[in-house]
Amino acid sequence: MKEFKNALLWLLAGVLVIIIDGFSLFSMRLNLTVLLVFYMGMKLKPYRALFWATVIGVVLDSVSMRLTGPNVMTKALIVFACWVLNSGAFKLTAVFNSVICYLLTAADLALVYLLISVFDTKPVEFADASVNVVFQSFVNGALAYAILSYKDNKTRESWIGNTLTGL
Amino acid sequence: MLKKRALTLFVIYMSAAIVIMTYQRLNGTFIPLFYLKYPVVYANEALTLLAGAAKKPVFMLFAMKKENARLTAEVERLTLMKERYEVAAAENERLKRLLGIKETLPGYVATALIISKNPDKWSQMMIIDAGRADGVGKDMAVRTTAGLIGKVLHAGRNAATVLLLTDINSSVAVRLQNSRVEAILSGTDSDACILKYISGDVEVAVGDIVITSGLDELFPAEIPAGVVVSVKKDPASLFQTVLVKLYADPHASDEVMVVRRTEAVIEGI
Repeated sequence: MKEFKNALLWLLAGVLVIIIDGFSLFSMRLNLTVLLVFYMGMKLKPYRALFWATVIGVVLDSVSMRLTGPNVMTKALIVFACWVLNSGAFKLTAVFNSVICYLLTAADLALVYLLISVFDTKPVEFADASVNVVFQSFVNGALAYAILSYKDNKTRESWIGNTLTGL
Repeated sequence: MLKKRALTLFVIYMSAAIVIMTYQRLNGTFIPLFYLKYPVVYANEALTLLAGAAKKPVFMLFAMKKENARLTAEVERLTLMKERYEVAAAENERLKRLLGIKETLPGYVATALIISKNPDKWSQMMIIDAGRADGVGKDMAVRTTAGLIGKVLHAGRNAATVLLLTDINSSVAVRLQNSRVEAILSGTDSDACILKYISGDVEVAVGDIVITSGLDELFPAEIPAGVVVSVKKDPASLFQTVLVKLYADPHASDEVMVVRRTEAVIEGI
């Protein structure tokens, strides 16, 4: 039951984030799906994160009505990157996570642009795409910092509380 | 071990994605997969409707507030315009009356605007914007459309000082219009004037009209001055105390006419 509830929540989060991506901020679209996938990659088990990343990727490709694959591939790439980072010797502070999220967003956008250009037709001019890449990466980086630093604080408070209780 | 598994899965995943995209490149896109977008599209539509329904009252409130501010400013502007129009209409009416009198008034000299009222606190005077340059001279009568208001005390080049009938030093030879009884109308330094030298046995009634007689050789005859508002007979005195309210209120006038004494005026023609 708990699994089902979690699955439903992730699905709802995915749909909501895709819808929010349709809105514009300063005449530029957001790309919160990458942030969600990044968060999944950091917080969920790798296979589960990969599954949800694939679902989100397929839905995104479906919404774009173009090629099926670019978003699936890039979202999976993000999960793999998080997998490697989580299993490695990195000290994942909020700032580090923010930088990683910034880079992964930029990589996701660049790769999707590249794959669509290679396997289909060029969607927009490179200059316009690069402006979007910078904006969306910056927004995601800032949001990742806000979310993950909040989680860090909560974890730290919980750890201090547990320690004090143990004493 | 984990890294090796992850790397293997990564390679398989990426290869599969590239194969799928290449296949689509060669054979066209997977149409059935496009149906996956419909849940998102419907959810988006539902959310848009919900957001629209939630936002509508807020937007209406802001729109109404903005409209209210605009209408308030408009009302203020129109109120000011209305006031200006009313002032202009009243002025027009007064000037029309003055013009009508000017054409029929013997001895007419000039029409003047009142520049200042009671510049000296010890006397009842006013200053008008017509002087010698306009033909105004000392001792000429000053009146409004309603009646006599005073006389020219001093005529400058472009302005003149008028001594009002209400000043205690002002005296005018008058008569009661119906009984033709002669008297002197003097100021009391208040809104009312007093009729002097009316014998106690003369019948004077409240409402009698007082006009100039012209016998003082200063004021033209037959100019309406005021109306009797109070009559008091004192057995111990030879004369009655008669109070007269002036027709022309100096404090409520803006324009006056200066009239000189001519033969026609003297005779009251």
